[in-house]
Amino acid sequence: MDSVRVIEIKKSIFEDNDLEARKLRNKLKNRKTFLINLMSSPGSGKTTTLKAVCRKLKDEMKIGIMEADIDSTVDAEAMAKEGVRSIQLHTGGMCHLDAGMTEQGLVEIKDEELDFVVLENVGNLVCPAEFDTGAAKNVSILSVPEGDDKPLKYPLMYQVADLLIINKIDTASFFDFDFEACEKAAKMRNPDIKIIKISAKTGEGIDELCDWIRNEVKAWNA
Amino acid sequence: MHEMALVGNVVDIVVEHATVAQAKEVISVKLRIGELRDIVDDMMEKCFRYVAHGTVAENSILIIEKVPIVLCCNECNTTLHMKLHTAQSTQTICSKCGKSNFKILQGKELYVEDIEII
Repeated sequence: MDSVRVIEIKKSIFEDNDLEARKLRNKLKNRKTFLINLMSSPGSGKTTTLKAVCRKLKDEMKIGIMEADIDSTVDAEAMAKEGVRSIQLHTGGMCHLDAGMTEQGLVEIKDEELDFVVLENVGNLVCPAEFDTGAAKNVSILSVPEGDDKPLKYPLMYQVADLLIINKIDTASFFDFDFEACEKAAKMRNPDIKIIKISAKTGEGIDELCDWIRNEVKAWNA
Repeated sequence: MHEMALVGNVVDIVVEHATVAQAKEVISVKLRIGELRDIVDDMMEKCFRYVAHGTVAENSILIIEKVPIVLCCNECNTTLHMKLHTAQSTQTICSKCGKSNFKILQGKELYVEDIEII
């Protein structure tokens, strides 16, 4: 009879990914490429927001967009029409991106030639929040029709987000969205979270969002 | 349903350590999981079973130890416990000063603690 041995491991299941993410962040810092990880539920307006931002910023910085979806190339095509470099990442059924997949995407998009890269994560409020992608900042979009209680329902997403964009504010009169309650709930999850209200459709708040990006790019390259 | 996203890493770590130790078979796998990770034990077990199939850990027992959530109030340093899926978790306020500004002391763990092998 073989004897049973106990092997102590005590290893975080995020350890390998966290290490890869840290290395990637250092590499991007040295190359002066500012990467954001953009997360939200499907249909919150990630692509529409990016289009509005790219129109304002594309003449002052070199932008790249990596669109991650389970299938299709509609988002990458939409971004290419805006005149920015864009690629489509297919996750092959995976519900999130990790640092390894992000790095592969960056090689393909040639991040060393770019100032500002957006990783548009898979539309999902749960799994993407668990994995550090190596991005400099995590940004989460919450749209008015989704409801003000999302930060209460999906705690981790709002804990990891550096910036919360509340989108579709032009529709506020049709929904019972309590901005104060939403901001309070998001701040309970993360006291340092920055909140910007926009309508990607009407353009309201896009200047404030672009200023946030300009300042962060400057701080990253300092 | 984010258990599947996490279980692949669990199986990778288990197989790696079992291989180094030249294990014939993994008998049990013990995980330490913080309550904040919001893992459903049954779902974790099902996903583990699916991913571990065909590996040295295929017949192992999965043992899940939960780590309670402990917060520390940033205003007055009081420590308090929090339970998810209760009224308290959607409106956490400090029992001493009434503010809601916390840092997390524990509850986000997700560790492969140890494995038993033969």
